Amino acid sequence: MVEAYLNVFSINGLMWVILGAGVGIFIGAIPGLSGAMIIALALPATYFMNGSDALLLLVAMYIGATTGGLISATLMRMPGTESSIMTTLDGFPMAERGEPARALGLGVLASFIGGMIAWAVLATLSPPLSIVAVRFGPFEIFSMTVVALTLIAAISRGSLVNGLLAAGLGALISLPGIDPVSGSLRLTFGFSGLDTGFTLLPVILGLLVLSQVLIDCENSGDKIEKSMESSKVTMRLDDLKNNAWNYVRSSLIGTWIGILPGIGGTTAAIASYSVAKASSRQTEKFGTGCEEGIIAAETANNAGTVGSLVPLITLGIPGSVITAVLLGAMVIHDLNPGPLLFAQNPEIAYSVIAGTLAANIVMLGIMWFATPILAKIMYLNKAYLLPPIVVFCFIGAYSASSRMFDIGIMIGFACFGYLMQKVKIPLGPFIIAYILTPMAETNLRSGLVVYNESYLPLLTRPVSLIFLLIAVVSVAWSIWGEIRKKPSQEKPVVNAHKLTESQ
Amino acid sequence: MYLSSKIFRADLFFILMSAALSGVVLYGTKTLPPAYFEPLGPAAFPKAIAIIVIALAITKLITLLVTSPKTVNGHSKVNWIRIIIPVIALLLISVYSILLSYRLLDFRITTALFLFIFVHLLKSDISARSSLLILIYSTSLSFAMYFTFTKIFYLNL
Repeated sequence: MVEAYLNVFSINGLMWVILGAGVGIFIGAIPGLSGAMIIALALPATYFMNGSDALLLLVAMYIGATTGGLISATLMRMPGTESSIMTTLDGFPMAERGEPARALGLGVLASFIGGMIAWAVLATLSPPLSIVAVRFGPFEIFSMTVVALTLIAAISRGSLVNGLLAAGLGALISLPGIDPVSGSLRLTFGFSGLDTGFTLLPVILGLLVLSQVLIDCENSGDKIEKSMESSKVTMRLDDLKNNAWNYVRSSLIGTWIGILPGIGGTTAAIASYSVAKASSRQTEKFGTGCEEGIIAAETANNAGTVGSLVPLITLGIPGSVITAVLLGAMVIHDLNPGPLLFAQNPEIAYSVIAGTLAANIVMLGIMWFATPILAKIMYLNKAYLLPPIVVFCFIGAYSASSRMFDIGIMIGFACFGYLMQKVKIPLGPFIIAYILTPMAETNLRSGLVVYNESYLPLLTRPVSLIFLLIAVVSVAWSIWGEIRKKPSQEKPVVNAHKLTESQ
Repeated sequence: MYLSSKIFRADLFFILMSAALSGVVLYGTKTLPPAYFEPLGPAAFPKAIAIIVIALAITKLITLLVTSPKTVNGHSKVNWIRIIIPVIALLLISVYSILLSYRLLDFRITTALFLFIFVHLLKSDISARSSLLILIYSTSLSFAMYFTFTKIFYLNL
């Protein structure tokens, strides 16, 4: 184990970590290009490397890409990666009011802390946690997704009906394709392109990125007011002290959800944001550039990233698309992923763990120096920024499955997202329901099969019961908050843009 | 009057679209097989969600119809000039996708043209010098993207 750490922190090891983290941050920051894409594309390049160096490079890319998504999510309201969707809710409003460097600094520090706490779990508790994680049954996972779905009510500020309507549409969109339990085609209406359903990447790119491009086209000549705060130090030690519990809680939520196979960093960010909002004393500030929201989302998604490595190296179970690619990398380099990895190739297992630590430190270093420079992107002329983003979206959507049908889906959802924003229907609930509904359906139906068509285990299994109680309390609290609002205090939801008209 | 306002028409369009989408899904569930070996089957979730969306759409419609005109004064008025640019941008993006899908022109030329036109669309002040700079920007970016994704990442563009 010590040798693995010495190897990772040697010149050769650090070189691969810096390269991987740098490329990952750069690619993750570009809307349209995802971490999964760059890691899959980089895999062939690792053929001629030794296994340890290859995994170092890929793991560093993974961590860098997750953090890189924060940049475009904060500065342009376009998540660079799926897991940074929740960061757009508070990161962009904070940047819009002239504090982009502060928003980025909070996100970077949160990413670092989330990654470090998850690394500590990875390094010390991997084997026992993996055993517990695979015992999480379908009803537990269903209940957990119900908790995350209750965030829909929480983030539907101003109009619960609009939020629920958006969520319902998102759920509907997630249904076409192959039925997860029976395997039959469902709601494809004969279109072969819909056999795989509306795939995630084109939907996210169209709904969140291209629609935002269209919105920005309306204001392309406007300039953002530069706040006096924006050039000050972006990360403060006070942040650690004032938000300590948020960091720890979000890290643990993200790590645990990352450990659960098949869930992913996006769900981790959603769940963490939901819990942070529910337990905050300033819930009304969430969605307006609240520090707690940025911290909760970014801490959890990075913790989830590292957490997903736990089942990979201990059990050989990939927890996400990217870890599936990492699994492929292990196979390519004649490694034996699974429970025997620690016995047969301990240097590889410990290299991955040490590489995670190194990648987090390198990521912090790169972002520390880059943040003030990156914050200036907010003030660049959008006429030069928006068109390349569209091209990157095309490349990103096409690269997933090499189908122009996905491009068509992306453009269709761009129109849909633009219309939604025009009639003040929130996008957040749509995306949350789109991502979580298939998971909820699969696990509920699987659970009913496992438990002989009985719903009772939802209430008798303690973990499931706890999650459902949290969900009920969360929804009741949101509805109570809506009812308590006096009619005279209701204000129409308006965009809080602080733009100056171009001359 | 609110009922004749553009905002109301946009909301109404959205409500009708939501209801129509739910109707299509409900229609699609008729051909789904029944539940085998499980109580719910493939049609349960689509039906439930479609019914919920229809109910929410009706709720939103009722809310719109009974909303006092005072409470909607906060809606920004539709500025048609500002909407024209996104519409043109959308048409440009659609044309770009058609050119790429039928491979009528090489990726590099198509992308350079697209970038050139799009930047001009968004820039408010255009001069001969700035057009030349935009041309250089578009061409170099297009070729750089092509090289990066085809030679380094082996994507088939």
